[in-house]
Amino acid sequence: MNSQTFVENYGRMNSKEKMNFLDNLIKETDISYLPPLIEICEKEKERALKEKILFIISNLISEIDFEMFERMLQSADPFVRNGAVELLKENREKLYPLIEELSKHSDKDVRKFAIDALVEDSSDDAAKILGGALDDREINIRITAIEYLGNAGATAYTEKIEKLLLSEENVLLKCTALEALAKIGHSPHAREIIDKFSEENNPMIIFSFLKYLAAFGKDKELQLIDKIIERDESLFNREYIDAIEKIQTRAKIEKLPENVLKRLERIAEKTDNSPLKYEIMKLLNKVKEEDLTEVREKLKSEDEMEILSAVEILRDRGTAEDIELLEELADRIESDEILEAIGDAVETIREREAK
Amino acid sequence: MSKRILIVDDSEMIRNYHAYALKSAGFEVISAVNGADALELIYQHHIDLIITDINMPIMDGYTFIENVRKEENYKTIPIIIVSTEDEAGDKKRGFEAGADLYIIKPVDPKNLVENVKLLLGE
Amino acid sequence: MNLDFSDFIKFRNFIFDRTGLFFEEKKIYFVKKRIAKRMEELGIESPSEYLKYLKFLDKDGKELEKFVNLLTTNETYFFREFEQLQAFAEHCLPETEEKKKKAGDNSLRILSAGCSTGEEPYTLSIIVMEMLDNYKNWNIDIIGIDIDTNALEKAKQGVYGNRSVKDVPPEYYEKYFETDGINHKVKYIVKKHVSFFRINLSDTESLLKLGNFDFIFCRNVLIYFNDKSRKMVVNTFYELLNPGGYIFLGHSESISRISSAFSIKKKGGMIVYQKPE
Repeated sequence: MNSQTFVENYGRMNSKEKMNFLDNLIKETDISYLPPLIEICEKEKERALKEKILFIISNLISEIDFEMFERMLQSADPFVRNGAVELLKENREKLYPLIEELSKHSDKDVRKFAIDALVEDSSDDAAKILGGALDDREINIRITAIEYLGNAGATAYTEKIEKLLLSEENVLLKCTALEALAKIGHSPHAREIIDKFSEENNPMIIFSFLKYLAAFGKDKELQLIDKIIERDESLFNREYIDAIEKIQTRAKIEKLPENVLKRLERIAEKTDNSPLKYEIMKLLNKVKEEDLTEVREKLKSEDEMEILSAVEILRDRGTAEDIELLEELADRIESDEILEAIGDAVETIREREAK
Repeated sequence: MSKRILIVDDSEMIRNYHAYALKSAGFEVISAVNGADALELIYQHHIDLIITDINMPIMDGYTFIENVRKEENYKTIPIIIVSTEDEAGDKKRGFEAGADLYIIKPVDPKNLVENVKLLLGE
Repeated sequence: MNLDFSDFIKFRNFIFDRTGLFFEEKKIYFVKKRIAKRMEELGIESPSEYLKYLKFLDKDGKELEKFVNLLTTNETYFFREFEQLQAFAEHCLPETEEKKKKAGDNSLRILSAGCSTGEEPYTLSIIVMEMLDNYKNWNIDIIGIDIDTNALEKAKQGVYGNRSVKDVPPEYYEKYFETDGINHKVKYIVKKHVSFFRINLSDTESLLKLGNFDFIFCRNVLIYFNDKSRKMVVNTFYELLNPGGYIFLGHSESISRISSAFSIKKKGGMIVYQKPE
């Protein structure tokens, strides 16, 4: 099979002819087709045809070697480059040695593509390659390796990630490292890291630091969080709630400190972000004996999220009288979501009352 | 009314990072995980500015930008490319596709916000 | 079971990645309930444990399948996903009708892929008869395919229970159904344009033999496929469509995770996907 002839013939066909031609190649296993296939893929403008060519290439995967992947990853056509990454991803279990080799290539873009193939891979092979990439001279690759190790929950490299966190300046790297460690759930030097970042002023880093605190903070960190909110209440967001909630659960705290509770109440009142209000209310419900009268009032709210949270609270703490209220609500509400929650609440209250 | 920015990147970390910087500066942000995802969003929402990566699955950044520029409503929308690719050829390709600015990763959040404000004429 | 917002987002992203199904924030309660159900059955204590299970321990995808089955209302009924059918009926179909009239082409071919017990192809048959200028002048061919032979048998009979017809607009019910009080039977005029075949969507060769179509419906079927098969099927659909033809997936499924070959258009407030002319 002559490569040049192949490419020329293909170039002369119209769209439909190309489709038919490619359909006949679907079961092709002859590796010598690979170079001309890559070439026509690069030249082809019609996306459906490009996708089909890539599909044919993907069927040849067991024969694709380092040079061919290198060729694809260095193509001027991003479709071919990304296609190669997808192939590496789909077949990675057989390709770890090849991916490792690519991750050490002299071209930084090839190195980055190689580790992109491991984005959601929790195997030890993947962790080893990503761990190696933590030493890459390119900062983007170090950051990406940290992100992916975080996704994989790879505990073997937490110390290395901590080291980068504590020694590097780049803000994105620090954020990525904090979040990765939080995802992994393992950070031997947590105390040192918390101490270092408690004085942090950069809101970008604080955003990620809160996720870190959610994973590793102890009860005294609740006051730290309060101090951070105090600097600028307008920056309050879900990450704060998550951190408070997780610390409270982990440290088995019965009641949150008074100042923290008061601040949460105030923020809930002031905010017009209804999902946020919903989250705060749920948190407050967990740790404070809220008067159910107020909760019942919220069933009449205009705000669907507020109604939903009230229904959930009644599910957990309502009594038989609330069933009637809930059924009334069910009559006038459209939202499927809330109707389902009402159904659930009524059932739960009935079970509870029956006991 | 705050301006709405569309962020297109296959890395969750980057999407969140850029989104946070922009939201803190008062912008509304929506995000997409690749070019095809993003194209759907521009039909469903009014977008004032786009920030996009290049290397993404399904549809890359250049193709995405070319498709955006074909749309009547989006012929002149400001588009910023944020990419790890830093060859002169990549930049040229980006501008040819229709981008207004090309920034190399990792991005300084302040720098990003300043450029966004500049392109939006603020 | 407490599902905090950040966990919901993680699940949401995972589900979207694997199946193309997208759940908005207000669906947090809906998703939470289904997660809790699976967790209870598997004896798993926390949502994050369950997510880890789905991501890394569910090798054959069986748990994902069970989870997805809970997340999708996979009961099929007439006029399911009404808004989308409206976009088809009021925009895409008339547009195609115009084009074909000008070209002197009176054929209309529609594929219902994953037709199950037939509600979808029969729905399409009704819509086509109602919306075309004069359907009797047209050569209408609606093809329903599925892998389930029992479902196909039921489809050929065209007899349904109350649940299937609950969303049929009353005027259409009068015109196109007969009932004995318990069962509802689709009239011959509706069945006339519809034929059924047993075909596996992964069988590209057989699909290609079906010829070309002006519209393809494949709703809430591809979510059960893996990435590679999904791409292959959608690519075949592209091939089967006439230029300018439309493909319809389930309303919370997104083609943009599968292929970039289709053009995105907005019709009647809905996003639709068209093969370029």
